Amino acid sequence: MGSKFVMSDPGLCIGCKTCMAACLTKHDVTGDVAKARLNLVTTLSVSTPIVCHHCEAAPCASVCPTHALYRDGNRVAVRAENCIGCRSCVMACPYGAVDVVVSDLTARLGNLAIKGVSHAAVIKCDLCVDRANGPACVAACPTSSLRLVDSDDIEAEALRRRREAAADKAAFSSIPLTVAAPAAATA
Amino acid sequence: MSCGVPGMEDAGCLFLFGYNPADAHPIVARRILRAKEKGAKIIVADPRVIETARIADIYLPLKIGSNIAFLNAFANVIVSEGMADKKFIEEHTTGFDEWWETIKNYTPENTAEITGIDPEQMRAAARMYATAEPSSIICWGMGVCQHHQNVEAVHTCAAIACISGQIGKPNSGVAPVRGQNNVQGACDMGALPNYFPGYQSVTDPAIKQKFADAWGVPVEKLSDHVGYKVSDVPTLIEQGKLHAFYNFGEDPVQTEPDAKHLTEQLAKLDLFICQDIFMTQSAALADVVLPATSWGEHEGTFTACDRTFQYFSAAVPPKGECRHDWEIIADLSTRMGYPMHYENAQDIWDTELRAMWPKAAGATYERMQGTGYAQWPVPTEDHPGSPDLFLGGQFSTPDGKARLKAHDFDTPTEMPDDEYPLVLCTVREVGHYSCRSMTGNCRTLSLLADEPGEIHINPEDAAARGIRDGEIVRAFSRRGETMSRACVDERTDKGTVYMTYQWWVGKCNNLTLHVVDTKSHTPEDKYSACQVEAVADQVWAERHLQELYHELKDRLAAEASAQDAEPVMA
Repeated sequence: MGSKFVMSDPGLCIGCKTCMAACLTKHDVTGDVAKARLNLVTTLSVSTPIVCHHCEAAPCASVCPTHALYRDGNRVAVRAENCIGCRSCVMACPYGAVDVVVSDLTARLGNLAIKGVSHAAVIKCDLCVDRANGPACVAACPTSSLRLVDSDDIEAEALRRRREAAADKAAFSSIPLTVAAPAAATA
Repeated sequence: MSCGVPGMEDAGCLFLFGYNPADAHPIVARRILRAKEKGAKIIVADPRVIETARIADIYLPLKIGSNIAFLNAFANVIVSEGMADKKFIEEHTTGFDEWWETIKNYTPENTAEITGIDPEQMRAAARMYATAEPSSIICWGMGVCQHHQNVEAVHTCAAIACISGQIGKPNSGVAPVRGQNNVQGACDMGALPNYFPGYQSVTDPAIKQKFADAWGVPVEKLSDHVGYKVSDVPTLIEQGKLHAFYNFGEDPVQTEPDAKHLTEQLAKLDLFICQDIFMTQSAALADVVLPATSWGEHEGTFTACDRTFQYFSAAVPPKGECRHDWEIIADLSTRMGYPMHYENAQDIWDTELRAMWPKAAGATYERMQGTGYAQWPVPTEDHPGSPDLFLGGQFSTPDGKARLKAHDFDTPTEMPDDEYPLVLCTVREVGHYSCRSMTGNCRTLSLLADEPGEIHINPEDAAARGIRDGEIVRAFSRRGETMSRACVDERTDKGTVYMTYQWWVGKCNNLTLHVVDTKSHTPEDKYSACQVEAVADQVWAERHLQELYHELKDRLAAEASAQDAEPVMA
């Protein structure tokens, strides 16, 4: 198992930001911050949203002095009430996938505004942990360029690549290899 | 389109010319990805590295404004390298020899300086397009239509499809993917100055008689000449030919070129009526505002760019004094002396379209229920509909043959110079639609992108002006100026800046040139000379733009507040 995170296929990405809209909508509720946790980045040849990898040895959690960021099972979770807005996590994250948003809130007693308070919040992917069908971004992507991967998926992909690389070694054999690969099945 | 959008997946080659599906039609962009996955070759010709350019087999970064030189040379390669379909040309086209007299003068080599394209790359692309199996499709968008040689480029794209034999078979031909949602439907229904519903000419006496009979009016009451086009409104006001303007479902002050000139001219009208779902900048200038229902409050049909009719139902009842567009029009007509009565949207569909246009006769509301649809031509109720047009090379001309037309290249109207050295090209972005009256009211979309919008500029052009990514800049032209946020973007070609046309404060149409072509009267929105400069005081600029935005929103809200009063019951 290990950590899960949202991966995108940059060839299938069309830069439409539907993932960002879905993420923002998911978090546009009372007590949360209406901001997308993943950000579309375009270079000359790549279009992809950049999002938290939920690192096993998460530098953001390591540097957090108040344990607002911490490992929770397979993900890096946020304890919002602990955040003091020091931005250590923002500087530590190698992906630029963590943000801190400061907002001015008005504390209320019933309908009475009693004082203005400055509120800091860590903004990063929470894998939509409270959403029944998994991350909203993955469900929303119109080209299915996003998927949720875990270490099993990564291991399976590595195995496939190793097998492919092994097959290519046939040409290096000092003795001719006589068993030909079967013809591709027609379907 | 001569093919269906789903059929694009099964073509052997898609040639995107001046068409950016990821921003204009993400659903079509998805089809193009599937086509690629199924093995189709993709050719992209566009000045910018658009999303689809990244997955193209051949990407041709042509210089902006060089369309006709490019297309002529592309066509030349197909003929001179022996890839023309002589049988198709002989049997299904006319005018080849005359066409070739022009095309023969353009080669990839002698146009390379104009187009900026490596001749070998162009030849490779022409081979890929002309020889693809089972079919090729040329797709184009506003990158063709909003240049001054737009009709000429359409003629040439169509000619390329014909001489290659890449039309007249399934999933082939020409795909002009429309610039707005339901433009196809508006055209189908006759919202054009030259046609009754179903592309039936207003100057054809037999057609006129048919509509006069159906509408129960004397034939001489129907106009016998082609009307004005919306792009000519400011010119016609200035010439004293237009005194009243009834505008609905459009915010021309935002979306038409040279906004300052247009606004000045609208003020001279004797009567300006706006029918809209929001208090737009145009509606705020109107003498009369007629509040209409939005897409969620009424039923109707949409027609996709590939001629597919689809039905949509109302989700919620109309609020306040809002009424369906057709009810407003029918009431107005009745009060002006022609009693007009319909039961509902289906009544209009059945009597004004299906009964009057044989190609749509089979498109019943029953057929379009749920996810059902009908694709015209669909002449009878048991007809399956027609994803592909011109099958077997049968065209809609009197002799059934395609007419080949060629044109010489001409430079854009306003070339850059020392004073205005950059080209401004107006484009679309996927997160906001048109004048933004609708998507700007969507919380999620406005949180993702808001005023003043962006101006995309090449890193070299930005560096030369001391402009850094994300900063507010000033852009100006011979018409006017605006401020926008710089997006320093390596996908942007040097010498051109790109702005989307939905930003009210960062309004690109303060800068655009208002020149139309002589045939379609489409503004040359893709090419205006301009200059961009850095703004020293960024703190002031950010605050200033916020103030302008709030002032504008407050003004529109105040204009709209008249409707807060209780309606007076008759």
